[in-house]
Amino acid sequence: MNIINLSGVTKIFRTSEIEIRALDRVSFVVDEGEFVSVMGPSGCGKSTLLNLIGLLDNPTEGHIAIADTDITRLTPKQRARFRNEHIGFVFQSFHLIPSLSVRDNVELPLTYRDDLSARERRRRVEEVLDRVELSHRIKHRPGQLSGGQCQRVAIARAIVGNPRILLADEPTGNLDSQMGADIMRLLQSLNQDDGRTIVMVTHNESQARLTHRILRFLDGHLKNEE
Amino acid sequence: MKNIVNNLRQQPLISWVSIVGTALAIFLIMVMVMMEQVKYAPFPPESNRDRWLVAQFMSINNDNWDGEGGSNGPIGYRTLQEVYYKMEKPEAVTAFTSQRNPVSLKAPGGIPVNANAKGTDHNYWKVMNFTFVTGKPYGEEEFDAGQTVAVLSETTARKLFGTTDAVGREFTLDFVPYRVTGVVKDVTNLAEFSYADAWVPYSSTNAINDGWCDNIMGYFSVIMLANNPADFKDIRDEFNRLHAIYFESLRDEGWTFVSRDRPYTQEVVAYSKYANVSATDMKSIYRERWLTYGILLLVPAINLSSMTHSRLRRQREEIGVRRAFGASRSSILSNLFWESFAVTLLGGLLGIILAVIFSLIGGASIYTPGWGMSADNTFVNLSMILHWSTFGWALLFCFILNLLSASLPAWQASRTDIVAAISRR
Repeated sequence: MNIINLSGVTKIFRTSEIEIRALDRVSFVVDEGEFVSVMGPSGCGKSTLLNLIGLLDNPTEGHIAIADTDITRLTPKQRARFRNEHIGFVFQSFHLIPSLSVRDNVELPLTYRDDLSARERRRRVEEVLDRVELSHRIKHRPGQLSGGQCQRVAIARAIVGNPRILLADEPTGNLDSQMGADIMRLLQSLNQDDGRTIVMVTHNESQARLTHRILRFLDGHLKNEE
Repeated sequence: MKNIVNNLRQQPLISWVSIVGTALAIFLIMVMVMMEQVKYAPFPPESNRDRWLVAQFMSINNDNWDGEGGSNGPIGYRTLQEVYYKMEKPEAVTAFTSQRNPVSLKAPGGIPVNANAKGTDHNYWKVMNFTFVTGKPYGEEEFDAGQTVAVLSETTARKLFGTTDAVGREFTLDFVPYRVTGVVKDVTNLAEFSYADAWVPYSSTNAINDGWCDNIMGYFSVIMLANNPADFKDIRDEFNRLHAIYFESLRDEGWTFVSRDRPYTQEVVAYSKYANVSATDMKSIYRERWLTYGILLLVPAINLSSMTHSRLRRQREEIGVRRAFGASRSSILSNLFWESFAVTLLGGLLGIILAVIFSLIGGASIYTPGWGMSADNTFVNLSMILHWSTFGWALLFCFILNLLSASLPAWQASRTDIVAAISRR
């Protein structure tokens, strides 16, 4: 059963002087529970693709269905709610909020839900921090953590709301090989043990090989799948 | 709250400039509010101002004057007897000499002391709320008998006797011997109807006979104390009915009553200082007041707005992240607005503290007493400038200031492009 379905998706960035076709009539599906990596040279549209799947941006043409919902038809408020419930993001540069503790950073997505008590939020935060083996750092701030630890906090934040899809944009790009390997193991575990669908943008061929499928992009086109 | 503290810590310079800017704006406007409130808000000994109807003056005419002018000024003893002391609707009615009355006081063997004396009836002590340091006020019997008794202020007692423990001691008031029945805490001359250095029964003075226009006019003002402001209409009705009867009895002599919509509430009295014109249009006073408040808020709001904008630009990435994880535009807008409001409140609190300190220290140089009063006895205390309504005004001004200064930057920030914010473009 597919959970992500792109059909003829085109994204054009326009300025007063130029028009950039970042994605051109891209169509593919991702099955539920699949771990897919997206590869290609810089500027080929990988991050744009992730932004569109993650409802951070709108396609210029085409349709995107996530979990049977045509997300291009949602209102801004519905998109915010959809992001919160269905999608978790892991960014290359972590994007943790420096002024908040590890606990507060991880809790962030839950604070936008009305149906969770403070106690339930705390329980979930502790559970996911245990999962990424950072319970002992719960009161620390991001500035007190290593890069690898920051990315684990970011992953904990991405999964605390129990989304069905995880979108990772070069999650190991800022880490050394050992830390990168740790993060990949964690992502694989989230995919295999939890059945979570993961779409990961990467430049690292060996890491891509650890995923179920590789989508290769060039100049905004999906060139091939492996 | 955690967010607010964190954001303040993250950008200490901008935060402090914002807080200080807010504090100065609120300080200026609250000094204005306090100056206004001193004129009409209740404070001891005029604690019941909100239940007062005041007839500071009256106006009459005479058919024999052929339309050439009228008579406007304080009220005569005859009118007190025929109208005011017959009133039943007020909880109490007090009459007192309305004008500043400089006298010379002298204790046996002492040196003369210049003072302001006020002649009052015994009800005066029910309508006002003086704090007696020693002794008690003179009562009905002493008033009816025209006894030469007096209540002194603390400072006057000290000047005369070197102590406030002066009950029973004698002194002369313009060469007439008086006996002290009580000593009260000093009264600021910003409390126009209660201020004096010595209070005596007006029945012990010549005020009863001192009048003009057949003693219809004279030297008295009257305060009618209502049980409740809701009784004002009944009191006014009774006031008009008794005046109608009174002037009916004066018809043969040609006297006619000019109402000028008296009696007034304390707020109207505070802005209606002339006997020969009708009450000031309070709507114009309110318009002027709000225009001034508006200017005092708008100018700092424009400056604070750019500070808020700058502060929120630095939070752009955080806002992008929050939106990526499900924050809606409206929740971002509301969070930013209330976070900013909390900072404004912090500044507002500082502003109130500054305004209070400035008022207490500034006193006579900021607050102007009524006509004919010297600044010597002008002082301000906390009970005069701090009321629950003061905090209400401060809260309102903080809210408006925040609305003016934070709404646009918060709205712009809430519409941050998520991708651009996260990619730091």
